[in-house]
Amino acid sequence: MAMQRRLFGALLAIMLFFSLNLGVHVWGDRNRSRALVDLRRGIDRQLLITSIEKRLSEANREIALTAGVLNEQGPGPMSPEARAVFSDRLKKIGAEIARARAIPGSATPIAERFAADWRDLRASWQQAYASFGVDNERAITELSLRSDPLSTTILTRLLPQWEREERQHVQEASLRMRRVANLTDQVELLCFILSTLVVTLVATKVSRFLVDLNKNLEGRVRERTGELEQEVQERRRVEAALRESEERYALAAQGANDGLWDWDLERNELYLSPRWKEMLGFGETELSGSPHEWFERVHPEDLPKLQEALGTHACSGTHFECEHRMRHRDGTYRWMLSRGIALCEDDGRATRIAGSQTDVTERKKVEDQLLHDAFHDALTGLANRALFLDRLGLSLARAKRRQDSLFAVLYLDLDRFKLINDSLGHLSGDRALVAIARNLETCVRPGDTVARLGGDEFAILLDDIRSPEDAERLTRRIEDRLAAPLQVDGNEVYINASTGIAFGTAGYERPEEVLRDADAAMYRAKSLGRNRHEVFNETLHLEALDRLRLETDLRRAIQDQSFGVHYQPIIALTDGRVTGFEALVRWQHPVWGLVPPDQFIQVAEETGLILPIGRWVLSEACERAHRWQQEHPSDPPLAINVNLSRRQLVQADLIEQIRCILERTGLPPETLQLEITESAILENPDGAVEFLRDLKALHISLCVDDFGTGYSSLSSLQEFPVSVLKIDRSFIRGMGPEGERDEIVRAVVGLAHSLHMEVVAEGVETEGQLERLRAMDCDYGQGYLLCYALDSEGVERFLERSGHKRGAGAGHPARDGNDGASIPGV
Amino acid sequence: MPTTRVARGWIVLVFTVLLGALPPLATAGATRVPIAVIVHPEVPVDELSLQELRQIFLGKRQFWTSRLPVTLLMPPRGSPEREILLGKISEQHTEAQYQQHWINKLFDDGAPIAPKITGSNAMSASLARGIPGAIALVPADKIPEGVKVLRIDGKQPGESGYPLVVQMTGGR
Repeated sequence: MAMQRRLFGALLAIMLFFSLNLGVHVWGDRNRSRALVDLRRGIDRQLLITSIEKRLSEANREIALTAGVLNEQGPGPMSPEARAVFSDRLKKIGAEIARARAIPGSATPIAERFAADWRDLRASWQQAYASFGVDNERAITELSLRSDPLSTTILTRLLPQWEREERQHVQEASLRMRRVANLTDQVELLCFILSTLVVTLVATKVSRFLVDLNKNLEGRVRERTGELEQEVQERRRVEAALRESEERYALAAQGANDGLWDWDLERNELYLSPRWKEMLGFGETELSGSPHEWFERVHPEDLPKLQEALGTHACSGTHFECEHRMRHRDGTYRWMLSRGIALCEDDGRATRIAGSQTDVTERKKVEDQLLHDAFHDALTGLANRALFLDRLGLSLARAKRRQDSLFAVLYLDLDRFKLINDSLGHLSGDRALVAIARNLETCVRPGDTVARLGGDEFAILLDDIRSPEDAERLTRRIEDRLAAPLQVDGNEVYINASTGIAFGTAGYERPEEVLRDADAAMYRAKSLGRNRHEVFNETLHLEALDRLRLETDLRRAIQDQSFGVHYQPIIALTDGRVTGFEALVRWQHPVWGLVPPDQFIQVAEETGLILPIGRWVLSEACERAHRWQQEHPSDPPLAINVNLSRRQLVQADLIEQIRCILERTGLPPETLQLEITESAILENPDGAVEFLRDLKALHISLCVDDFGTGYSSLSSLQEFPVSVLKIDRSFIRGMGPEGERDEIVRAVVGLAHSLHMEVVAEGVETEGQLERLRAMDCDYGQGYLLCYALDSEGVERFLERSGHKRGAGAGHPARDGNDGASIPGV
Repeated sequence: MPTTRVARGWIVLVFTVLLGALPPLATAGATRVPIAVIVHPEVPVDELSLQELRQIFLGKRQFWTSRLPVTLLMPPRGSPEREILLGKISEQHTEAQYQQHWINKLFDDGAPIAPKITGSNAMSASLARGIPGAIALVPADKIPEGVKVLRIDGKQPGESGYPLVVQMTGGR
């Protein structure tokens, strides 16, 4: 009810607002209209007065002209036309005056006076006009006495006054209208403001009331809505949690692609999910709810493990997890990962175990593959070194446990297998290795292990043999099998192997030792001519010990700087001039005395000790040579030849080492000649190319040592800064009256000269050799016949006694010397 | 309205030409006749200079007093008075020039009262006698009763030095 009253009040206020504003607007409009009408009347009167004045003036002029100044009529009355015109003019003036006076508010004294005078003037003019030409005197008298004064009064006084009066009236009307307009505008504005305020006040009140009412209602609705929403949310939350739980469970099971199982231990009932059954190839309705359905399908080897895991879990309450194989419906076994958890009573007794089953067969396969790859050779599929050593370790352990246990290790290295790779390519080489691997597998017993240790090396572990003869018998069988030709990519190849045999005894501590001895025996077999086998024995053992001792002594010698350099002169065969020296390393062993290079260089190469030794020799030789060049100048200067080993050749910083040594010693690079064997270049052709080009940039020349023993590419010889070829001593030694090697040497000399190279003959030991070499135009020679290798003091004496001078030949410096050098016939 | 003015202009022009074409007045046996300037007796002026008289007849002075306007009574065309008016008073104005002067004055200056042309000396005398403020020119020997004769430049008509004298032939 209160709301209705307030609404009615608001409506009434609005109506009052509109009525009041409308009334004020109408009142203002009427006032403005009235003032406007008054103003318009004044304006009309003013316009009429102006028009009247104009017409009166014209009439006055006309009558003055026609009847006064011009007197055109002359005697006789005015023409009717002229009268009519004048009469019409007067009528118009009269009509306008009447119109002006008819306008309301025109009855002013001036207007009345004007009207009266106008009437007199008109009568006077009419009288004068009528007298023109008839009685001019009367006319002039009329005009002069009545018309002129009247017209003068009207035109000069009354009309201007009337006009001023009307102008003033218009101004007043205009002012009044402006006032009225302002007043009405102000009143309207005031009324509008007041009514707006009232309406706003009422509206505010009503709005506040409505707002309060609305708030009240909203509060109640919100309160109730909140309650309902809370109830709904709670219900939804519960439903969502339930649904989420179900979905999560289903999704997890589905996403994991797992089968589920639930074993009620009290009732001994097993629930298996459809997926669980499907994993083993069964339908949803197949398999009963007995635990027997599960356990009977577990692989017999894995069943104890599974049962143990279940039992342990049920007792301890820990998480159950076990990988085992399950028999599929098709008879195959699949690897499964079973996981679960037990539900226990308060007393710790498990009443229920539930969990999942995951098919991990693929993962197992991958793991097996990875495991297999880790222990097998990728090319041949044989065991690799790691697996071989593992199994060898097992055999060794067994041998330690059992005195009667005997095993053997065969170490096979294919003879000249590199030729296969070089001639047929690595792909064919790999195929040959695979074929050999298969052959080896056919030769051994099922329990034996065949391994590829790398490259062309194989090893066989013959476990649990009865006697050493068994191993040798098997080795011969292998040799017979390998003797048969192999078909590789359409090529028939023959591959032999050198085999070393080592027998496992309790004396070994580690499997690597057994393998090492088999390796040593293999090397013995190789050194004895290849394609044979050798059994590791005490001699080899001693040799191995000697080698080990040699390694140790070598290391110590490097630390103690026990090495020395000897220099063998290089003699020009044409004039006996000493052109340079070849630096040769010597080892002064504290026990064995002076050790020749061929007894320790190979070990140094294999152990890498050749690197520090070679660096030291190079430094020492350069320093000595520079001193000799200064003390015994010649043109060209004395050269120094230094040998580079294979190992040195693959050093990344070799060029930098050489540059540093040259800078430090001051030796001119062009007087240094590095000797490299053919085989060293051939083994690493790419690295050799880069190195030899760097040498060329340093202006260091190159000498190919032992030329003729390898398979040098003539084109590569031209590319490299090779300036000298050294003919291997074996060819020189073969020279003689029979001339069996003479042609070879002559061919080499001719070849070198055609390539613009010089030739050094190594190992010149007889006069005959010397004569033949000179006859072949061989450039230089080295050898006992010419001069032994000398130590540095010996070289200095040699140079002093030979009187080596610039441009002079060496003469016969060693012929009468006591340094063991002789240069017969030179 | 402009058409009417043009027509009037043509009329005046033709009129002037006709006036110019009139044969000159015979001068044989002419006598010198002074022309008197007569005014209504109420006119509060007894003497005018010739210059003042010229001002009046050219319409430049239109009131005797503030309440008494000047009423010009022009002698008829061809009369000796008219000759005096045009020659002596208005300084050698021809008839056409004199008329044009007044037309201009009426239209331009807004002179409320135009001069009136009388038909004869008798009419001029009669009107001068009857119209307050009237001024007219009449031969001195025909001055009527009831008017005032003004001295011009201090001279009465007939006195020596009186400026308004016209040669008149007999038979007038």
